[in-house]
Amino acid sequence: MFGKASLIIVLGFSTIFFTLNSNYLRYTTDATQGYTDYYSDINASNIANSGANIACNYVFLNPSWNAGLSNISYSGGTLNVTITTLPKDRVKITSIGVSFGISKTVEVIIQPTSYSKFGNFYNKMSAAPATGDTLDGPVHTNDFLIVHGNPVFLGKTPSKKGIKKLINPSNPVFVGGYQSGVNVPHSYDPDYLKNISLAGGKTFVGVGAKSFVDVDITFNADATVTYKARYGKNKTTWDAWSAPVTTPLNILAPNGVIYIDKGNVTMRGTLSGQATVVTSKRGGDGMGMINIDNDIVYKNDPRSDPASTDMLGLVSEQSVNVTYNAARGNINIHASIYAQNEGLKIDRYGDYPTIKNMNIFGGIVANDLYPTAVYSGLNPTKGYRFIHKYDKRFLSAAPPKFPTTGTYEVISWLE
Amino acid sequence: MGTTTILDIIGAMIIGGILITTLFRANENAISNNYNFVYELGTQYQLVSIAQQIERDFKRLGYCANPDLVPDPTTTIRLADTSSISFLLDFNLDGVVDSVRYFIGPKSEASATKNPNDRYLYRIINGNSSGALKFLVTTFRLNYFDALGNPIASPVAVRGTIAYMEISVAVESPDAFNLQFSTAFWRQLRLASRNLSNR
Repeated sequence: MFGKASLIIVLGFSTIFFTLNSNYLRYTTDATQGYTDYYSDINASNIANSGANIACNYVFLNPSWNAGLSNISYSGGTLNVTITTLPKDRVKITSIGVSFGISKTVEVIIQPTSYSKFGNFYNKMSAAPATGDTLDGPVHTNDFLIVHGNPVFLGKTPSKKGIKKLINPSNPVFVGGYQSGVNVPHSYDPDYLKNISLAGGKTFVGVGAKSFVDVDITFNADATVTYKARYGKNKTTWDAWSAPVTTPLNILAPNGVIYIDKGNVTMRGTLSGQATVVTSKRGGDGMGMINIDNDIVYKNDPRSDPASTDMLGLVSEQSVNVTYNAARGNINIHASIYAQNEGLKIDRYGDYPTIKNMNIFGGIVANDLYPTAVYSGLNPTKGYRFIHKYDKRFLSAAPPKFPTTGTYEVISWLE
Repeated sequence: MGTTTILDIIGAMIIGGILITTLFRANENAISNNYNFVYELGTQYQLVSIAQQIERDFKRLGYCANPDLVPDPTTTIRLADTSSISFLLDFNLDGVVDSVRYFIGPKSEASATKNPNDRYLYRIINGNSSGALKFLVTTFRLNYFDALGNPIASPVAVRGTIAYMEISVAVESPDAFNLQFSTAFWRQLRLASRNLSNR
């Protein structure tokens, strides 16, 4: 009797403990399974991200690359990448990573980097932003970023060689972050822009021995352009000006590109629409310049009218100059400015009797940074104060066919 | 009834008492273990679920199906401190920029649970608190770093400098046997949304 009861008790307890233990084991396994699933999820995501990075690199090295990647074994899983072209020269990269049966997709959109996205870009820096200066928009230099005191950089600010502080302490403020070791080439292709203008823009080009051309342009608020031109054998011997012609901007240059080949342009006015004015030097002494002799502004200022589509690009092979006029007063320039050999310059800034304001709304991309005023201590006394405000539209848009850096940038990353 | 019988009864009572005590003890342990394992499992799953949700949203931070609508990544994060963050995100992937806010509520809001430490972590889209997603957590902490990896003091005054985030989440079971709450902890050391460094 006692033996039978003992057996029942032992068997009963064993059954209970086996059942409980089985349950505990299942709970433990399930708890681990949660983390295993999480790992698989992360691994698939990492594979997809790696595929997107690899594809971005291929496109950066070869913009025409569109082969994609198919069933590549990677990090314990597989990855597939497809390339799709989008409007505005954009490229969409779709990367799919699979790990332990879990699939993750990363979609990246990249676009050519337009120089117009920079608020300030200098291939080298001969002058230094100083305490009290605020540089608006993205900044880049292929030189040392030279600072004097505590200037503020509102946008993303990479430089190639690092930061050079002219005085100590100097504590520049980088609101959009700083990065060193970044090189962005500073060059554009005049032939490309000439072909664009020949295909649907306006091209001013000399004839025969008179290969130099000088153009005068006034943008009118009614979306027309008044222009005249003269031709010459060199920078000092010119024919008479042609009679002024007024024509709608979209008739003169349907694609927005106005190209002056081996010549200069002098301009002012109120722009209604979009245009990029280009001057090339082509070996012509004194050519390749854009001269601004008065305000050149948008009819609809995007700061007060966010829907404004007015947009101006000034692309000069030599320099962009504000011509000397002691009676002019302040000057307003709404444009993204590109100067290949020099930069934005104020003619004879030391000859002005007083100090005025040069209000720039847009961006400056130049080989070098030039002084615009004579200083007495920290105070400018003659010439023009450099007052710059970045046109934020240039972060995602550009004037017609404005030069690009030849590289791509990521504008959207979905994972 | 003889002495032997009395001794038998007393012996049986002692042995029976020991057996019953053992059974009660085993039963208590079984119940305790059962609670612990079940709550442990629930806590682990809850933490994985929260981590996946946070990673999904934070990695998409600044994304918009129409990239032209978020041209300046420095303006993506609207508010950032150790216990809350607000940022822009095309939540439905429909090309419309939404505002997403994560923040942690007071402990008093989770008084219905037996755990005195838990509180709600809220996710609110476009300020619509009635459609808020909420999770029970005991810790939700955010730390911020700039592009050079330097910590940024919180609350972050210049949100455009944020390049990385450290996210810590701890979850405890809402109930427990003998108040021995199950705990799970997750930390993302350096989470960087790629959209913060666009353009």
